[in-house]
Amino acid sequence: MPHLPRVLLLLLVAGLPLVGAADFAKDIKPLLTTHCTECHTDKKAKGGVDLGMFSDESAVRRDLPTWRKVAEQLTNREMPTDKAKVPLKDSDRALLLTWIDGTLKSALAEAAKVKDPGPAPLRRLTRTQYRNTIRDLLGVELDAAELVNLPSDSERGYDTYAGTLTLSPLLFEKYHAAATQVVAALRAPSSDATPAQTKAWAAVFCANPGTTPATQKSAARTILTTFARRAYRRPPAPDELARLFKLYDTVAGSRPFEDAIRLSLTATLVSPNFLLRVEADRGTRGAKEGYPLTSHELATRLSYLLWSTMPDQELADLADKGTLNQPAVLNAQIKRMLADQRARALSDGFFATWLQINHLDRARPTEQQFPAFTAKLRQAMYEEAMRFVDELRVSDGSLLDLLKSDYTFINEDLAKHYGIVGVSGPELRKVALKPEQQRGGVLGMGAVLAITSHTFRTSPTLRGKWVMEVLLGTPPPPPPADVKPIDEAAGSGKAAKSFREQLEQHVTDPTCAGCHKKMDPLGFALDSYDAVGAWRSGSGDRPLDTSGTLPNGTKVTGVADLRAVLWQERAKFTNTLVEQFLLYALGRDLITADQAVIAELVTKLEADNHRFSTLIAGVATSTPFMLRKNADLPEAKRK
Amino acid sequence: MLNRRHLLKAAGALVALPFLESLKPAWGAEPADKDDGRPPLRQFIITIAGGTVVESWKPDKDGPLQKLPSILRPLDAHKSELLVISGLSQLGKQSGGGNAHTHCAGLHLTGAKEFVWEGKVPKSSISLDQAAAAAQAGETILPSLELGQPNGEQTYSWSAGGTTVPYEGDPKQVFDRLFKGRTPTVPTWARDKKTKNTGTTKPKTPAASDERLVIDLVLEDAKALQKRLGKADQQRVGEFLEAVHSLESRIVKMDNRAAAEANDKSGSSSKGSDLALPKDDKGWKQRWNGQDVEMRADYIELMTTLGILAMQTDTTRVVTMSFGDDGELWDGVVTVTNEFHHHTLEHQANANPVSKADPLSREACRQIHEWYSVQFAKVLSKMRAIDEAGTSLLDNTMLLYTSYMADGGHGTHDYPVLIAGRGKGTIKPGRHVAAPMDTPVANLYLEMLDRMGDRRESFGGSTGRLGQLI
Repeated sequence: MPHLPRVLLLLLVAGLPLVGAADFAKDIKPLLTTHCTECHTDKKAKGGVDLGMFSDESAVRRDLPTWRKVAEQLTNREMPTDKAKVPLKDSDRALLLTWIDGTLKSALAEAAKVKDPGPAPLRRLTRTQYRNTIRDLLGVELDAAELVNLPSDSERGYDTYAGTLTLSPLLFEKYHAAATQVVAALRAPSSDATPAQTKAWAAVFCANPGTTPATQKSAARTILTTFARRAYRRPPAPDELARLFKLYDTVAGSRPFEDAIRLSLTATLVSPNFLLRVEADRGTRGAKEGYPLTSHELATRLSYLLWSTMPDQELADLADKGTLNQPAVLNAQIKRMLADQRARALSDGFFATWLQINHLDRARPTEQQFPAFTAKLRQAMYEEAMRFVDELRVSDGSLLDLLKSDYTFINEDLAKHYGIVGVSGPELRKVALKPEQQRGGVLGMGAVLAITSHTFRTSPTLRGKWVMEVLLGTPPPPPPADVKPIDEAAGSGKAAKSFREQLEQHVTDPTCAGCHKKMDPLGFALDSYDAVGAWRSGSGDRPLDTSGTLPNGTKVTGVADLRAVLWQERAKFTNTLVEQFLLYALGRDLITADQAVIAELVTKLEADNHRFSTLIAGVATSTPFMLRKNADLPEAKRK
Repeated sequence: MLNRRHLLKAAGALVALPFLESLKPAWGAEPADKDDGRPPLRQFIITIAGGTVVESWKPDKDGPLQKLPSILRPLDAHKSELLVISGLSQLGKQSGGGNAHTHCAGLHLTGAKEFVWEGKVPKSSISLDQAAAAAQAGETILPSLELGQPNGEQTYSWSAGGTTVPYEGDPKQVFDRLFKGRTPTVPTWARDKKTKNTGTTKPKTPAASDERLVIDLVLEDAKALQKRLGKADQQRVGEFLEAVHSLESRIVKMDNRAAAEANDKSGSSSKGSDLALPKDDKGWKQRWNGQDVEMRADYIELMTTLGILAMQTDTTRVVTMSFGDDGELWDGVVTVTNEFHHHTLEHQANANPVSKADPLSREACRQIHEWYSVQFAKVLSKMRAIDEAGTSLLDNTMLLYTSYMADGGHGTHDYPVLIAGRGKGTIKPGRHVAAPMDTPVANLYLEMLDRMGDRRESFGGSTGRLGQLI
């Protein structure tokens, strides 16, 4: 006993992190119970944070994002709130922070050591992937998804998310109807067939059937084997081929050669081996470490990630040779694929969803309120954002350009809308920006500003939420149920308050204040852009007030300040972007091991001017992307 | 303006053909789902977006319907066929994610006690329509039909496994699914009595059709695949197998139906060989994405007509539809304010207390719901005009007309609930039933399921049967 104080004293004197050795049950849990769990547990779980469920340190290590959030709240002194019955002593705050920091770091280091790729759930082709794959497989100029009105896969979030890629009876009927129609669209060479049609036909009917049943049978085997190899994205198994041959043989006697082939092709296109991206289980059950994908599986993952379509011939050949998993080969392929026009699919597939502008067609501002906001202008706005990211790909530019840039891509309509002179014609082109033009980066883009507005006015709240969620990765929780709407009284002739004054109610009402004092100042800083993104100096007959104070005391007086704040936070931005792209690539919720992948890639990006290709290649060569493990383990806790 | 003549004319032809006099029903007390050779009971659900405006929807008094409130007034000609039920609420909770709209949508037809999000995936319990479809499975070519606007997060129908059932929004796809490769035919229920029903009398096995061959191959592929996958993935392949079986079953039933119709020597089944969809060069998507109110009315009329045809031809007995999108604009219907955006109007029109809401927005919402009633009246007229052995299609239907929220403020108390039709003699319309406030909507669903042949004791958060329907 007498030794203990001396040890303590020694540690303190030496400035060693005594708290690093803090014990969860003895030191941390009591603090959580006193200061946190009154609001953050079970049903109450304010802000969606439930700290009561962490029974030991290992539970903490399984949910790093929550504890990162806790650390941030503690650091910013946002929690516990001023109204807490028992104030949190500074020493206890420091103890918590040091313990969280140490736990996070050691959990990440531990995760980095084990090559745990996490679950790899079976995914069916998304609507986009299906459309593109049919196009490339058959060489027909048909939108197979549109043909049968395939439903979209996900309203919110990435369409690649395995959990939402369900397969209903209606969907299967649609695949069946589409298969019949696209196969019928293959046109045999004739005088009025286009060269493209003849080429597509020849690619499928790649063997000469001759005139006898025997030569036809032999040709059928070649044709179906070749087609199944491409459709299943791997060499078909003998039993799979046997079934296709049997189908052909059943009908071959009673109908022309071509028709018999077409029926077998139709079957191929509704086979689970085509519609699902199959990765077979192998290796030990219950293993934590993963095993490498087969080269065919890897080619498929790569192709759908970068191109949203099936592997092309070159990838398929490398997969057949089995060399794709070699780092040099793989890196060369990623480089080639990124340079290919098909990689534009990253813009529409990943970036549009991440930036939430994939629903720009449903943005609320109306043409009645904003005559300039025509369908054409909307389209130009969408294209501006897509071209911006696609040019980052082409030039391998810095992803931080998304935060601020001295250029953007506009056409005449958009230039006029932005108040920029000297741009004529409907096609977008790169335009250099001066600071006084108030554009550059996503914050100045019409698409972003329009989707964060209401029908007739801007919404500082929605804009602030967008910044927090999309750029910083810290989405505020949804408003509590049964919250009273703010007393807007629009158009009802009551004593007019300025909109700003109305919105101040959020900050005075304690139910709302916690989140709104974060969101609203970020959004007000953008209020110089009207609801459809035009620059303005006032709202109605009032001057604008775009100033605000962030919870940490930083004053923000407008968009320039906001850009500066975000620039300060660029590490958070980078972390968010990596995390989001990993989500898109894996199609599942992230696990602790993935946090190590993210941390590593963020470091890499920071050392590498945040180059576009570093992000893509970093994810495409990461442990969870290159390895898999059997899906029989219980899934990681979902968030 | 859309030319609807072809379809409507054709539907008329189907309708006009007479049923045998001897089949005039003597309504008894048999359960409505009994295969008694009489026209069967159908369940038809129409859900519109945006709730209602309660003071303009709910009749003042319990009992026989008097002067209708303004939203219901366009239905005045059908007053004798309407049962308005008030006081019903959704008491279930949402947990694990979502927003106020997903909350209401997940409870809407499930009446669930709790609607949960597993990660980013919503899971609810089986919905009224799917349960009814399961109870009727085997009777018709399609167990059920889900039609209407693909409405984003607002998913109303849920399978037994708790996943969402998609709605078909494209009339062309609906038409092909119903009638491609077959002649739409109104059954004579006399024939059904003799040959029992479709699907039970096996005709001689037709030569293996192309679909059959393709399906056999796919089933074998899927079974082979299942062996190579881990447990979690096998579930997804199971889902795949189920979907394939469902197509298989449809094809078998279509074959059987065709054979039964060919066997029908009475010559009294009515065929509508010239049935065709109206031409539409603009593409149907314009109808639900567009903001033209007249087009919207055309779209609703066409889709409801397709649904009616599906029931009239006994292709299915369970039809569920959804119309409206909170993002729609209502220029031309809303005349009292310059705001036409439904979602914005809904929010401005609702506050707690209501006196704090914007009265002009509230009136605008009322106008929108009144417009929907005008469209609904057309549906009722059509269904009443279709003769089935001396009764009307509406007589043999329970048509639930409702919204997925109680009001535009995501309200869950006192939903707009109206049942049209006589449910094959199991419902007594022409009344307003005021249930005790906050009676679970699921209590009504339990009644409906019972009539459809699903005799379960409870459904979702039900606390018992609603009663008072007859």
